[in-house]
Amino acid sequence: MTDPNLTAKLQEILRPKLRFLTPGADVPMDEDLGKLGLDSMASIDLLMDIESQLGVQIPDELMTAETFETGHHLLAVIEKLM
Amino acid sequence: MTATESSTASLPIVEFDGPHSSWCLADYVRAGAKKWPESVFLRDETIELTYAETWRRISSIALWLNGRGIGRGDCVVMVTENRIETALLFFAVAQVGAIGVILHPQMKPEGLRRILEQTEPKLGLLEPSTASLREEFGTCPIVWAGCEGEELLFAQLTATPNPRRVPFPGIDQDAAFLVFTSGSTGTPRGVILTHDNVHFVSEAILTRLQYRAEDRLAVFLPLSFDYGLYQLFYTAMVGASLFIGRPEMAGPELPRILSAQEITVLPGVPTLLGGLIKMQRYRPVPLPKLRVITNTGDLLPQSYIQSLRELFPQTRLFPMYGLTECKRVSILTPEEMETRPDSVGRALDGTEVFTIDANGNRLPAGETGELCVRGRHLALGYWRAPEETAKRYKFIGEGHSRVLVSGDFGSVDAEGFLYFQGRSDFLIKHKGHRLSPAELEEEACRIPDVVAAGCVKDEVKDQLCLFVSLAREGLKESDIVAALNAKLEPAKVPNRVIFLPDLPKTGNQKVDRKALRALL
Repeated sequence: MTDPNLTAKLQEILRPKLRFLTPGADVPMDEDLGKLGLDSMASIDLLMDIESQLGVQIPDELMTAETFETGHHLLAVIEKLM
Repeated sequence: MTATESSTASLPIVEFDGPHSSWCLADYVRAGAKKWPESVFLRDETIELTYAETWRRISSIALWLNGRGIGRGDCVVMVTENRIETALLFFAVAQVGAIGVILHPQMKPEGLRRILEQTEPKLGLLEPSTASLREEFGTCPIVWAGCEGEELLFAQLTATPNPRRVPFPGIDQDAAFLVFTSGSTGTPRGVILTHDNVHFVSEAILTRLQYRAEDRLAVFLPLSFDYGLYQLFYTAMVGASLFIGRPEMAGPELPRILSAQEITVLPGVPTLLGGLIKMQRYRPVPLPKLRVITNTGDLLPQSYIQSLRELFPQTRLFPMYGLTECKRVSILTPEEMETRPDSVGRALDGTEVFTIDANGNRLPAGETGELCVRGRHLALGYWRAPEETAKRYKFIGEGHSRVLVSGDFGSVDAEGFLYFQGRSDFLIKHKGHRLSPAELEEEACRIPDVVAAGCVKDEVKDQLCLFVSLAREGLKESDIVAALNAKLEPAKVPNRVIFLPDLPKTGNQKVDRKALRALL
């Protein structure tokens, strides 16, 4: 069972990096983050923020485009690491 | 052996048998299949193709195209993520004398429609991620890559086991492909590159960059961007191998991919290299094999050059300058960078670059003006746009020589070193000063924590506006203004600083100033 606080925290980290997200809207967790405006540079910021704010370190083998594809993918990876 | 020697040496073993016995750009692969049949040419994360197998597939596709009546002068439009199939079809299209058009996969229907109206393609290539564009193609037949479907599947095209070769029906002055760029009117314009343009410029470029047979290149730039596309040619010329990556791989996983794929040559643009710098500072991955980094697309900020030299002391860094209309203008070698760090290098061998004043008169060395280019690399012009072609490609002087008037500003010193100052299409006039947004942006990028900057003029409020994105929160508008005020003339200091989490970029990863203006 996913901790709702963790989901909310991740959404807050994601929100400012999604240029095409309507301001104030919820972050759709199943939507392709690239389509929401996350480009490669922003995904580096995302990695840094996740690691510093959620206290996890994403290992090399999970550092893939797939991990950063949707909010849910990220959440699944983070939960496994916690 | 130098690149020039190796590619000249390739000519005799390829026999030309079309009606005009002419070279075409697919001959890069044909020659490669004879010289290095078992070497790997194209790779992605799942497959690799040798030169021999690549050539077999290209020949099979060419035979198929020929059977469908697709030939000299017909356009074939491809809208896919970077993938091996796109490269194969591209070469096959060239072999049958048709014209390849590779478009960005994030193309919007409206923009695509305007390109399809101009090109009237005989065939399209799509994939699942671009399937929503299908209806724009109307009755044009579509080949599908990477999916199952009721229409033609790519695998059918490559199925012939021992295809006979379709002779190249054209001459090397024919259009080989179009590269679409934003036109001066807002309508996308296709720059027409010939087989000979490619032949000439690729050799001139490799003379400087010195790629080798043992090199492993990687392309993360879209193939719709000419510098991404040309990596196919450079690779085939020297018998190296090319990893076909995608732009979204240029994020957190980039260093890991470069390491796992043992990449030796990385063609970049400032945003891609900025990401690499950021990741290597955050969580370094040793990349001892990376021996060449090139930059194009936008001016590489000096701060990036310094960072790259610190992070990759063993890597040769080549800043370059060019525009699609002639592909490449100049390249600065690492040796030349020692004494001329601000230059973008000398014009390619056998070409000339000089400046003209507002009246079109040639200026002496060292004087700033509009950059003009001459040489065999000049494209034929813009597809079906004679008026825009005539504005850019002019015949000047008593010799009636054909010149590309670049629209960019800069100067060329007495030894031929070029100094780029900005795109005049985006030149800003502010408070009686003429200023280049690139200059302000570069200065802003030197401020610690500034990741990207884009400068535009708010004509309504007569304000110079600077958009910046930061590595972390902290800097305030007043900090940025103070830092720039210390470096720039007062007229060049922005009136307003706007913070964005990320700056909008064009499909080619340049800062999209048009999109920034729309945010004002």
